[in-house]
Amino acid sequence: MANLYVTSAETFSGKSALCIGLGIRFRADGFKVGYMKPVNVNCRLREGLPYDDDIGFAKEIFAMQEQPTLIGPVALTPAKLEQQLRGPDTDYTPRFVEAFAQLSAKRDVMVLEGGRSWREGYVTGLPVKRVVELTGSKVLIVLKYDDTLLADRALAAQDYFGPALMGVMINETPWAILDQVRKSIVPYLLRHNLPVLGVLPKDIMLAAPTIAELAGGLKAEVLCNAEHMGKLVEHMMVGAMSVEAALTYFQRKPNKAVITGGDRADIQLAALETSTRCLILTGNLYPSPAVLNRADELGVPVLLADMDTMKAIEIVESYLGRGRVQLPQKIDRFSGMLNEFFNFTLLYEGLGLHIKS
Amino acid sequence: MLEMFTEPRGVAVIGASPTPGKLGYAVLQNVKLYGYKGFIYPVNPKAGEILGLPAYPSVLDIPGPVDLAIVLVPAQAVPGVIDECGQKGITGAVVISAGFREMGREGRQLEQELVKTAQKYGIRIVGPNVLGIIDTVIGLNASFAAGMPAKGKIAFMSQSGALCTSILDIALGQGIGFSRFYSIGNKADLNEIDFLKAWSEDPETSVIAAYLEGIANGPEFMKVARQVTRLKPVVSIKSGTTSAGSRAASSHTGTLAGSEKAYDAAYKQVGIVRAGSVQDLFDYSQAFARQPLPESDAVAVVTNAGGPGIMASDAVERIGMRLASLTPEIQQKLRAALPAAASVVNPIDVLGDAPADRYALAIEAAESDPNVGIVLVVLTPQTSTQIPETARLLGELAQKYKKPTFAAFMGDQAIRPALKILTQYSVPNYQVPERAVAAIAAMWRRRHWLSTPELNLEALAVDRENVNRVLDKIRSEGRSSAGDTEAKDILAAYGVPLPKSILAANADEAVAAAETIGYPVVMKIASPDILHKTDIGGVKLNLSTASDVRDAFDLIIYRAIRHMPEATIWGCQVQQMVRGGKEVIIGVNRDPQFGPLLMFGLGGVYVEALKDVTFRVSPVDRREAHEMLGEIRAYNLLRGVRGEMPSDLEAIADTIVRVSQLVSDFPDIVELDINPLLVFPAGQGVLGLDMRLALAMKPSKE
Repeated sequence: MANLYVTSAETFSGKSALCIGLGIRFRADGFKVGYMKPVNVNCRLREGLPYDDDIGFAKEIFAMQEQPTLIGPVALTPAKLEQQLRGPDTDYTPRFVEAFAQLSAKRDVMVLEGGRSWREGYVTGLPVKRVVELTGSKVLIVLKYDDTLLADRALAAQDYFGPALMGVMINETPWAILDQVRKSIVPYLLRHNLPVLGVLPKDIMLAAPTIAELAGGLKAEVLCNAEHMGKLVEHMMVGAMSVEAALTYFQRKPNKAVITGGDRADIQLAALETSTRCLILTGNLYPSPAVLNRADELGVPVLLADMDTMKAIEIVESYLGRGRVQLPQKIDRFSGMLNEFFNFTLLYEGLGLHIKS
Repeated sequence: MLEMFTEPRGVAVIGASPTPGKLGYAVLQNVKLYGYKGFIYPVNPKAGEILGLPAYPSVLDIPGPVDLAIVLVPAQAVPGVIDECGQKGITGAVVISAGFREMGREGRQLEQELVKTAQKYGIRIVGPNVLGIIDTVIGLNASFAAGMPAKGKIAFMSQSGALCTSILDIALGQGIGFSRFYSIGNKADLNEIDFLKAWSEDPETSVIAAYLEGIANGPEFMKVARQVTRLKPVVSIKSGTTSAGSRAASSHTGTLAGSEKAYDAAYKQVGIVRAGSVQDLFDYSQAFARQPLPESDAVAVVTNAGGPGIMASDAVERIGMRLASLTPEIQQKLRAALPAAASVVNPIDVLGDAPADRYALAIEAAESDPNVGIVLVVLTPQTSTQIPETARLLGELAQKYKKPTFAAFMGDQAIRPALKILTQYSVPNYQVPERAVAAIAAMWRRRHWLSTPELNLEALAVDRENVNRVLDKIRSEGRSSAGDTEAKDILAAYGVPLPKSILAANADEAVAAAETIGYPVVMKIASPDILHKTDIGGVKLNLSTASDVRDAFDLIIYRAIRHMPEATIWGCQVQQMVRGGKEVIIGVNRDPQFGPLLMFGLGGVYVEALKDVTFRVSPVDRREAHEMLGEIRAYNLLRGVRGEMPSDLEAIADTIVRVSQLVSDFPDIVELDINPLLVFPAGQGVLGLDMRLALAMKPSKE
């Protein structure tokens, strides 16, 4: 029985993707694997009920029969958090222990997904360290590459977890730096008894939001090609210049969303001449039928947003690089990356797992 | 080539209607009305008889041969109708019906179906979504236009059906005739290229005129147009090229209008005469249809009023032509024959009271003068002016001497009787001298075009594999712009001369590089992410010692990191410092219609602030490259002023030709700038000092 607790030092580090990717690999290697999200201090509500995207998706991928409330036994909604703060303190430990016992009963490996940082959970009486102790887990930290302070954060985690920390995965490394990271940071951490289980390159596609996600954020009306809303948006460009300048400008980025006024037919067409995933029209100005027709022809969704361009830019920017990874095509892609860049041998050694032939 | 449209044995009007006021009635009536001698078959499921002709429920029921179908049924029914046409053996169809690509997804699909069905049988389609076609040669009006144009030698095509109706009416008013008059609509099958080809071979057509909103295939269009204009003049209105116009065009048609510069360049390169307006289109077409091309640019003006004579002279000079210097003999002749107050120096003023014979004297003098290439006769309707007689004598003289002769009878009501006469004698008339001169200039430019040699592209010795290698590397790193070294490598592979240059990754390497190259040197930041090096202080000039070089290296790197912390920095480019020479710019951009667009200009402020630049669509040959040099206003600076040596124009032209081949060979290059290209005195060549290169980002597959 091996338990792996996956956590990270910041948001959008790739932790959820890794949990899913590991789960898929474990299953493929013949293990009975289960997923759990021990503590969620920031649980959202959907139609009045607690809801967690990650759990829903993982349940499917891991093919688990158990209820979401068991898979995420300690989920603090805003109301529950308020209650906890007012007191008296509820100890969530028994609930957690019971849930874990049930989930891990007939399984070979448990993948436990942590929250946004390893300093979470104290409010519930279940700080990360405690969860790790209670479950006898090994810890794997996902660190998003961001310059040289990476090494510092890795050592801080080592300090906190002690020998339970079995390794680090460095994610989203720019291609040009990959070599440098392998030659300097990885050996450094190894010298400090911290194995690096993988250095993954940055992949825009994985963090790209779908057009549907953007439309949701913009509360935009979809004017055509609704069937293509699942496509991924990697970049954003704004069209506010002369059409000649626009053409050259728009050539520079592929798979992009182009934001421009609804009345700028020429800019819209220039965008459609290049690799554009969707048009976002602002000012609530309906575009010309001829342009809509052209977009329709090219299979490019057109979104109509009732706001000014500045606001639209803000919103789209907040989604770029932070798209949900829980999409089948992204999971496939990430699994491929793990196969190439992640050291499963080292992981299995560390977890004491042996592949049954 | 398109005989099914120009010589059909039988015409079927599918969707004909017995009800006056309906489209199917109007079209059938038009087909009947104007002298078409072949068989006309109305097709209507309720059959019976329409406008005295037996009607058939389907083309398949028609007894005799049918070559052309005019289709008026609703869009959904069209593919089925075309299929029946195919079975019947009909080879041409004019689909007037609307409701296709212009309407949205369903319309697009219908149009695709229509094309597929037509292709199955080899049927050629005009349209859909058109006014129809009119042919004055066979007297066939297969359209719903009100009226029939006069006969003439001009073939006209228009993408806008609505514009056709106006043009028809204006032409009728101005007495302009057409051979073929086609509304080409959605161009689902036959497009402007097909008509250019067909009409270039049409013996009834001597001028091709067009209104185009969007060209389907720019490079193919240019190739065909180049050949056609060698045979016949092509005059085209191209709309939507200003930014306001382009926005309107985009909104209306759903296609990008294409840039002004690209169209200007493309038309110039293929010899198409560009009309700025519908009036220009008529003015030029008329001139080409009725008069021969001039042999010289010397214009003689004969006028009965001083003011208009001056206006004509101004117009001639403004447009770049000249007033002829009459020979002494002719001047003497005129002096002897005209009243004392008359002017015998060009413009020849025969005075306000000139009767027809005095006019004729002066006109004959101009026509017979060997120094005169073109004769322009200006007339104002004064009390003693004998308008029709003057027109007749003018016409006779024009036909006798066969010199390009034009009339500017300035008036409306009073000169109306003369218009018919001038038309009979094939002399074009213009209401004001400026318009006449504009048409004359268009004819002169065509004469010049015909004497221009054909495009002659050389196969330069270049290293394509190297360029492919560099481009692959750039792509594999997910970049869209080339770093300095990469841009240099690419240009060097195509033979563009470059200064000695070495990439240094650190200060030590920089010093070693400087010693190899030789002091003084120049240093520039080497990074694919930093495009405007000077703006961020990433360039240092005139470094003459090792310590200068070290300091410069550190300073440049520091500034670069401060400016763009995430930039990939490879180090500094150490380059030989070049002194002297003039700066020019060669740039390339991608036009959506025509592809790579070359730009040339004198460097620095001449391009940035004065926009003294010229354009051509790539590929260009050496002659065109030289032409570009001559077109910038600052050309004289290159030729050398105030005792300066002329610059090496040959080397600049050579570089332009090489860049042209590079961007034609590699369509992925969407932007390229050599700025500056340093030019030395004649014989000493050029050096590309700095360059940028950007690739199109290919969309990723998911």
